[in-house]
This record gives sequence, structure tokens and C-alpha cells, in this order.
Amino acid sequence: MKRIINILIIFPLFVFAGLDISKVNSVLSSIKSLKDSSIPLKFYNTKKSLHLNKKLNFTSQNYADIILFPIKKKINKAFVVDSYKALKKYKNSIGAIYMKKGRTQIVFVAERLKNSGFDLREMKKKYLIPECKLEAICFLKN
Amino acid sequence: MYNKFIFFRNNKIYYYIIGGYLLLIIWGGYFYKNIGNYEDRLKNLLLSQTISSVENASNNILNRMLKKYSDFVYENYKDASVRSENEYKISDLLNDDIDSVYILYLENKKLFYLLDASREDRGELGERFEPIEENIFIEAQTNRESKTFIQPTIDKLGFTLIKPIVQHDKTIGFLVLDYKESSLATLSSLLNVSVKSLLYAILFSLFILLVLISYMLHTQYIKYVMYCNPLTNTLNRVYLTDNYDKINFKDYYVALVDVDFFKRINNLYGQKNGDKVLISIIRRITLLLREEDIFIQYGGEEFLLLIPKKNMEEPIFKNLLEKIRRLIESTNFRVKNYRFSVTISIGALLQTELEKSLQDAIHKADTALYKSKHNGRNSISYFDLSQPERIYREQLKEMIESDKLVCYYQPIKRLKDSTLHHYEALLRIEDGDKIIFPDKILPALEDSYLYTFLTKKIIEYNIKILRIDSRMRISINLSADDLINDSILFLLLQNSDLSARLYVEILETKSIDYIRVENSIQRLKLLGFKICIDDFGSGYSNLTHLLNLSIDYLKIDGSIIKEILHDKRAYSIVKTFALFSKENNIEVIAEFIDNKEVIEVLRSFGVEYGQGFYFSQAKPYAELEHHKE
Repeated sequence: MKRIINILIIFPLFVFAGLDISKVNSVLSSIKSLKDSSIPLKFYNTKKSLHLNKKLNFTSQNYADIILFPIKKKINKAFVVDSYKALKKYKNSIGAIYMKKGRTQIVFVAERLKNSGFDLREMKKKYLIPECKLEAICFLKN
Repeated sequence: MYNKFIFFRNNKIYYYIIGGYLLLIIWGGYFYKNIGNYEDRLKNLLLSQTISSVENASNNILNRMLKKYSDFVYENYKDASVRSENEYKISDLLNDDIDSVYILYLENKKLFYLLDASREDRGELGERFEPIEENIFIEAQTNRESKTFIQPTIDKLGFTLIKPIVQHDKTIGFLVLDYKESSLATLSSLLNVSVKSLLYAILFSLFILLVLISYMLHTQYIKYVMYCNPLTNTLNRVYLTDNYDKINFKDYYVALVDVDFFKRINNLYGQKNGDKVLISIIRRITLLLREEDIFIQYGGEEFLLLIPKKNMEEPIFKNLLEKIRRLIESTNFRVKNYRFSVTISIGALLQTELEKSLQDAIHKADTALYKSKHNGRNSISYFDLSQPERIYREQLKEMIESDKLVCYYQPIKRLKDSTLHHYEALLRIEDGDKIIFPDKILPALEDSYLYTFLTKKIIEYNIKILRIDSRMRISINLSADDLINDSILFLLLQNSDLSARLYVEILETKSIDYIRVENSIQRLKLLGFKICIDDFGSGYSNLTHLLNLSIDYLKIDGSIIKEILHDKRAYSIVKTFALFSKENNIEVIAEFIDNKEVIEVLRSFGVEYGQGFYFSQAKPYAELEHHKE
């Protein structure tokens, strides 16, 4: 039991081990509001071990526009998950930032971003995937 | 400087080494600059060696899969069982070094997972694959060639192989193999060993070359020390001996220059001042020489000039020698407060092309020099091809050095009973069957450094005889110059334990600096040496000096003794000398005794000793009667 607890405590720390922080900062700072792109978005980061750039506007969960890696996923705000599986599972997540095979992966679902009133700036559009990409059936139809 | 770097000029290997060293430095620099490229190339080479087997296997798998499905991406997307079958196939590529094998497909320039047979952390179908090394994927896509690269930023990963998948002449995706970090460690160690080996090889080569250069420079330095007279900074005779074959003498005029009466300068002002004069003479001569001219201090005060014939006609060469002669003649040398002038004699050979060797050419120049000396010195003579053969000074030197010098011994007997008193050592050189007598030897060596050399050899020869034969008593002939020569005097003083059996005969025919000679004689007499004046009556006989020298024996010149029976003047001279000697406690020796009548007359005068053919001619030591006993 103790071993399981240890794994549960330590494992999240390793999820982001080797994450390309500058790339993450760059993509997060490129998220803009569809209403007013000049207003900087507010973030709430649950993973304190992940030292994101302080230039990103961090605030409490209540005031945040986007929540990074929430533990409870039943929330009314846009949030970013830490795995591709979670991105597929939680339809209200707008994107995922995670490590796969030692490489930093950043994915944002275009439709979900839009529905949440966000978008990525032009330079970072390559991180967008369509919703349909998450389902094989959708790919086959197209 | 006329020949300062002659060693380097004559050693081409020196240039080769310097050239080689420069090339190695340039190459080393180039290598250092391009070591990065070299490392990369080496890495790729090693990587391609490592992945070659995997690449073959992956080619086979991909070929089979692509043949089977006309639309590889679609078929896999559509059917989970196809995916599972294909993932199983590519899982064959997994081994101890490879943990991840997966296939990505391309869509709108983006990469997505299609198949993933990795042991862990598998990508899902359609999952976005964001590469770090995007440009390599683009390159692989464009060139349709496999790419291997080291993963510098990913922990746990060593390197990655990307293999483009081409179907219907279009790159549809990539097969990707991620190698573990451990595989890279092996590669790195290989790379390390390879680069290090190369570096060590270069360093070792440099070191060897440095050692070689140091050795060469050291050799050159040793040669410099060996070949150069440190006082005058000119080449010496050793250089010539070592380079006889290297000098193409036919391209040179040969001239020998000798300082006239240099021994007197040494005797008058001391050797130190003599050296100063010599340096001054050398400096003046070399001032007139060109860089390509070779100047060698051949003997103590004898110099050899090798002047290239190129760009120098005979009249110009003759003019050069005349300039040298005049320059020395017109120079006022100064030692302490004394000013004096020095002259030189020069002998030269113009037609060197007719000679067989440089030695022959030098011998001919030496003959010409001899002619200059006998023509009153301070002159230049050129070897005349019609000149008769003679023994060259050099030949004599070689003979003396090769132990051809011997002494023959003529007994000096008591006239009253014809018993042996002692032997006179007479110089001979045995050259094969030929015996060379002093009249051929001494004039050639007169006034040269070889004269002292010869005297020392004679003394050493006789000391050896005295040491092995305690019954021998020998008189040796020395010139007045020999007696004031420190090295000769030292040699005698060193062997003073033999003084009771070693007599010194001073040649009277030369003019003598009585004061200095007297001093030397006193020193010898104090140690027990007996002194005899040789050939008395033939030269500058001076009775007052004779008394001052307090000599033991007086040897009347043979030319007077020979005439004693026929010439009243000779008769009365001998009688007077005998009387004078008796009065002054000097014993008299008569030489050239060839009959009994002469002995009777000499006995009547009270002459004590005699020598000549009547008693015995001079014989080698081995043939002496007492030796035979």
C-alpha cells in the first residue's frame, strides 16, 4: 500500500520530466481570447513542480480562464490535460501537454478551443488538430 | 656570413624535416578545425554500421507490408486486426537496444501515429507526433533516404533511425526506431577510442618529429662545435675531413694561406695575443670573401680557401688573393703597446679539374705555398704543372699520425776505449719499403704547426723506448723554438725521471733567443737533463752564450771533422774547441768519424766522444747490438 502511495505521489513528478518548458510557455502564451485578443489570459497551474514562465498571467482557480492539469475534471472552465488519453476522454478539455517517447507533445483541439472562446495565434496553428482526429471513424469518413 | 650555415646547406634532410613538420602542423591545424565534421562523419559511419542489420530487416518488413496493402495508411486505420498484425510484424525489430518501433503517417505536413509496437509509452492511432528534429523528417521525406541521428536532448534515448515509407511514389509516413541510451554509450566509447587514437597518433607523430628535429639540431650543434673553431668562428680541419667527398672540388679554386713567422708572434707576445692576431687576420680575410666561398682554418696559422669558379675568372681569383695579401700586409696589428705588421704567403692551384681528389689539389696548393715561403714569403705562388713531385706536408702529417715515424739510433762512443756512451736518435719515416730522411721531412714542416707536432711525437717515441729498456741512453735533437714551446717543455718535465738517460741536443744552426732558451735549459738541467749543443761551428756560434747556457756537451759539426786530416783550419778549429771545452768543463763529441786516423787526432786533442760510420751507422732499435744481447 505504502508503495502504491509512493508511486502515486512520485509518478506525477515524472510525467513532465524532460518537458520542453520554453515550448510549453511559447504555446500557452499564444492562446488568445476570441472576444478580445489584447486581454491576456489568466491561468491556474495545479502542477507547481512545473515551473512555467511567470510572464504568463497566473491566478487562482476561480479567476483563471484556463486551468492547467486539473485533478478534478468536472469543472466549468477550459482546461488542459496531461495525456492524450485524457484529451480524448474529457470532451471539455481544450488541449493536452505531455511527454511521449521522450518528446514534448502539445496538442489543442481546434473546435474545443473555439467553443471555449479561444484560439491559437497564427504561428502556433500547427499545434491544432481537428476534433475528428480523435476518432478513427471520423478519419475514415473524410 | 661567408659559411656560417654551411652545415645546414649541406644537409638536405634538415629541409625535409622542417618541410614535413610544417606539413604536419598545417594538417594538424586543418584536422583540429575540422574535427567536428570528422567526428560527425565518424559517428554516421559507426551508426550506419550499427543499424545496417536492422535496416535490412525493416526493409523486408516494410516491403512485404506495402505490397500487401494498396493504401497502407487507410487499411491500417480501418481495421484493428490489420493494425495488430502489422504491429506484431514490426515488433520483430525490437531488440536489446531498441525499445520503440512505430510508424507515423503524414497528413498536411503533420505526423500522426499509425502503428506502435513499442514496449512502453505507446502512441495511439491518430495521435499527434510532434518531433524535435522536424528538419530531419523533412529531409528524409524529400530525399526518401533513411536518416540516423543522435538524440542530444532526450534522456534515455541514444539515437533514432527514420525510414521514409514510400507508396505509389509518395512518402506516406515513416518507420521510426528509437535506440536506447546504452547503445549510444557503446557507440560513444567506440567514437571516443577512434578520435582519441587519431589524436594520439597525431601527437605521437608530432612528438617523433620533434625528437627527430631535436636530434638533427643537436647533431648540427655537435657538428658546429666539432667543425668550428670557437675563437675564430671558422670551419676547422675536421669539417674538411668529414666532407672531402661532399665538396665538388673541381668547381673550386684551392688556395692555402699561411701566416709568415707566426710562431715568433706567439713566442714574443704569448699564445693569447697570438690568438688575437690570428682572429684579426681571419676577420680581415673573410671580409673579402663571398657567402659561397669556403674558409677553413687548416692548421694553426694556415687557412684553406675554396673559392667557387662560378662567376670568377682566373684573373679575378688572382686579384682576390693579391687583395688578401695586401690587406694583411698593410694592416698594423697591435698587441699591448706594440705595433707590428704581419705578412702571409699564399699557394694556390687553379687547374683543380685535373686533380683526382681534393687532397691532391690541396697538396699542390701546399707545394705552391712552399715555393712562396722559399721565395722570401709575403708572396703568392701558383702551382706549376711542370713542377717536380715532392713530399707534401699533408702526406707527412698522415704518415706521422699513422705511426710511420721511427727513430734510428747511432751510437756515440768513448774515444779512449770505443765503449758505448749513448745513442743519438735520428728521425726517419718508414713508408712501406721507402725510408724518408730528415732532409726531406724537416724543410717541409719548417715554420708550420706540424713541426711541434713532429717533435712531440719523437720525444714520445723515445720515452717509450727508455721506459721499456733501462740500458738505453738516448740524445734527441730539439730546436731552440722547441725548447721555448710550453707543451714540449711540459712533456720533458713530465718525464724527468728519465733525465739521467735522456740527453737534449740543441740544434745550433738556427738563431736562438738565448734569454728564453737559457731559462728553459736551466729548468731542464735542474731536473737532471744533460744538454748538448749540436752541429757547433756550423752556424751562429757564440762562445759567450755557450758559457752562459752552462751546457754539458758540445758536438762539433761533422763538416769540420770531415776535413780535419786535410785542412789545417779545420784541424786548428777542432783543437781550439777541444781546449776551450776542457777549460770550461764541457765534454766534446765529434761526429762524422769515418776512419781510425781521425780518432787518433781527436784523442790527441782530448775529445771524449765520437760517432760516425767508423763505429756504426744509424739502425732501428731492434737491430742495435745491445738489444740483440
